[in-house]
Amino acid sequence: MSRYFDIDSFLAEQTRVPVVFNSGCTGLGKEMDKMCQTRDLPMGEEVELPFWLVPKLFEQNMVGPKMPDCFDERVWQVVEAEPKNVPLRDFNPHFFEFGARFTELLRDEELHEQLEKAFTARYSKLLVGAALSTSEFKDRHLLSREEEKLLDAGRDSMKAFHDWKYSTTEKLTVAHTVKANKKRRAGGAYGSNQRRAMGDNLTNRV
Amino acid sequence: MSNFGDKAATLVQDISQSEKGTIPPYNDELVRAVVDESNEHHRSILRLIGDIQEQGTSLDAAAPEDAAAILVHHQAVLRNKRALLVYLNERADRVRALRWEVGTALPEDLGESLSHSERGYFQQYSALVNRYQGRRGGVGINITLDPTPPKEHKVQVRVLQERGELVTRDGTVDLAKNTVHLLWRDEAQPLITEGVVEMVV
Repeated sequence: MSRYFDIDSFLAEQTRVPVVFNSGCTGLGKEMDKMCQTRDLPMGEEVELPFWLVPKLFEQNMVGPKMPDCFDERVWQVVEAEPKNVPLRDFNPHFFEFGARFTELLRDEELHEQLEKAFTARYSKLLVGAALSTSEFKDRHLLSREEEKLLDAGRDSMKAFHDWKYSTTEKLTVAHTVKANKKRRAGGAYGSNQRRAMGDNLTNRV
Repeated sequence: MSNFGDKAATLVQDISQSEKGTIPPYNDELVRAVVDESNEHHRSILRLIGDIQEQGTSLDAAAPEDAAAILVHHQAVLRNKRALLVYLNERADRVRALRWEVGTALPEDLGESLSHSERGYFQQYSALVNRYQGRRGGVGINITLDPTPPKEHKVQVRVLQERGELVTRDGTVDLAKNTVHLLWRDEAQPLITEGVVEMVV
């Protein structure tokens, strides 16, 4: 249940999935489909639902899910041709998380394999980016949320290792929250005055 | 295309997009809207059940389209509940982290970002940490100091904000703007995290 409170897991479930209603739906015609003429949703109607609604309805065999746009045939053509240079977040920011949930629901072996292949192909690049270079990772815009989190985790641990090994002097800094608030308030004007007077500092030994 | 749960998603997105370690203003309006929406779903469910009973059918033998509608409303309520819990839980985490970052005093402009209950939560959590740190019944040491092992006992700091005189173990120090002082580390740390002085390396 720890995933219950996870923000990304929550947002991944917001992805829309096209479904066909095997039964009608009383009073939800307009809500489910703007073009619907009647108050009730008729049987066999195809609508898009957010993923969080689907599992329970599917369990009762009330809807039949179809493949969402982000796992479309055309998407896989691109991903399989050049897995490392595809901006997955443009298809779906939670590409893998949502994919895992979706395949779990449908028991779709083929999709499962495709996802796994795509992830392994991309993972090596992520690892190199995290471990070997300290400069800004230039392909960040290609990553899905899950990959970004992995990259940052790798980065943080490398940095911690580096700090420990070369034991650079620790520097105490202002709290994040205070800094962010100051930025919001002062809007950049802050800081310029202090820089000017830096030359004539007094040094007081206490 | 259904709009159920969209407000809930906006609420979670709100906190998801904020910078790590900061607390965005409490979105009271949206929280209320999500709660109202859940109440609306609840009324819809009751209405549907009422309609079924009026027709004289038992709930077990209800038409599939009625069952589907009830299920949709019910799922929507659960989804909204989860959104509120995710939102509040994440904020509570950050409020607790605040105690370790800024100390016992909640900065004024930051306090505005918190809801009334969150401010109370901070005070009570802070009191708990204080009790743990206290001499009586506690460990008798300030555990929020020195998150990383220090090398020097003293640090050099430059004053960014006028703060008047500061009484230290070694006497008083005049914290005039742009002056540089050598302070005991434990005495300097609260001032650094508050942004009154900055460390000179």
